[in-house]
Amino acid sequence: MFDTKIKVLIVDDMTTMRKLTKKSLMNMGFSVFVEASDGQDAWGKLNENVDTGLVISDWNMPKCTGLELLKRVRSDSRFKKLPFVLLTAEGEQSQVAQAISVGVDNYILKPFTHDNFVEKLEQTYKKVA
Amino acid sequence: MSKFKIEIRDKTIFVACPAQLDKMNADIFSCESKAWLLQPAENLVIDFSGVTEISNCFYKSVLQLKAALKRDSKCLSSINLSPGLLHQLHDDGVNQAFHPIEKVGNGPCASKHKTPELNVEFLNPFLSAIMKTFEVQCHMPVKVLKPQPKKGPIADIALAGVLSLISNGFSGSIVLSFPKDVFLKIYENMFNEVHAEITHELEDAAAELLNIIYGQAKTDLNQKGYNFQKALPTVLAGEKITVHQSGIKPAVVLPVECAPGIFYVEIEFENII
Repeated sequence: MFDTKIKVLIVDDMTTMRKLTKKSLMNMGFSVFVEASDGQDAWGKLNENVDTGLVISDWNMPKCTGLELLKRVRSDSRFKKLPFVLLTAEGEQSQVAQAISVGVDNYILKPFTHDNFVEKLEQTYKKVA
Repeated sequence: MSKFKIEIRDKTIFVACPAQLDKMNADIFSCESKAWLLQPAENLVIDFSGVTEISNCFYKSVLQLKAALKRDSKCLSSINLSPGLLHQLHDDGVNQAFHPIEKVGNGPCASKHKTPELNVEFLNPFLSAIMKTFEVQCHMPVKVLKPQPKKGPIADIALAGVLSLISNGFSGSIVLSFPKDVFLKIYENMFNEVHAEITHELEDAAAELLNIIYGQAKTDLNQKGYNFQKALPTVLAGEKITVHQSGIKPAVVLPVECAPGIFYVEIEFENII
């Protein structure tokens, strides 16, 4: 199982998806959240919160996409091992392959149930453990 | 002498691989592939005959080569992958990047992208996506009623999400429109929150639902050979709004029945080539 005391950065340009993500995380026992509305905002928040223990980011966002954020995160030595999960409505394998090549730990397809969410986070933590 | 043997036939480069595609061979592949890009060929086919191992490092080399080929409008395919390796690529989510084909001539450049037509094959992915999205994300089963040709604006709409559909030789849009009371109930189901008016938060939810529906339908359609692009929705809200589509293009309305009432999905499109 995972440490629910960690700080989670939730990145999505849509408040609804941030709210749904937060709702699932709260049901799992997480309580410390930082929210960002796009990849650029997230990068700033991550630098202000270097103790972040998990990033859950949307893929398709204006300004800076989730994939661009992931590239920035992985190119910074402080965040090389930071668990990073992409949320996407598009399950095309070429995109998934692209995200894997950049260093994503897992991805969650929208729409998602709470059970899907828990399963994906468990897989992520097993992988990075 | 190189471990990767190259042959050029019919404007296609064939790259035969050594048995083990480990990190060392992945590095050699990446290095040598720069020269392959300069060859006067339209396609590149990686021949996996006799290959027993593909490491994650090799995935990266293939993805980089595929991206470089794509910039020059060239394509990459794979032949002779063993069932075990096909399974591995599928499990690792890189199947589409390798683009396995049975034989040369079935590669991605061998056929043009499909042009959409307003038929069952085109509409079904949208119907499935609508049903799944509302059931999973809104905890509300819905039933899509018989599609109808759009004859005029739909009455009593208070909230509509609009998204442009962009594909090869195709221009269109998808609109998700809700009467006020129907969407207030849908939102209540999603978050256990009661609202009396359509606020910015509710507009955002309508846009996100449209996003999710389009994302699923796009994945499904692109797997069938279409070429739909990413798109971001916009939202219209007001007392009684009217969504005017061009009127020139054919449009279909899908009424969707759920517990609080009926909402609508309108799809309009025109082939432009």
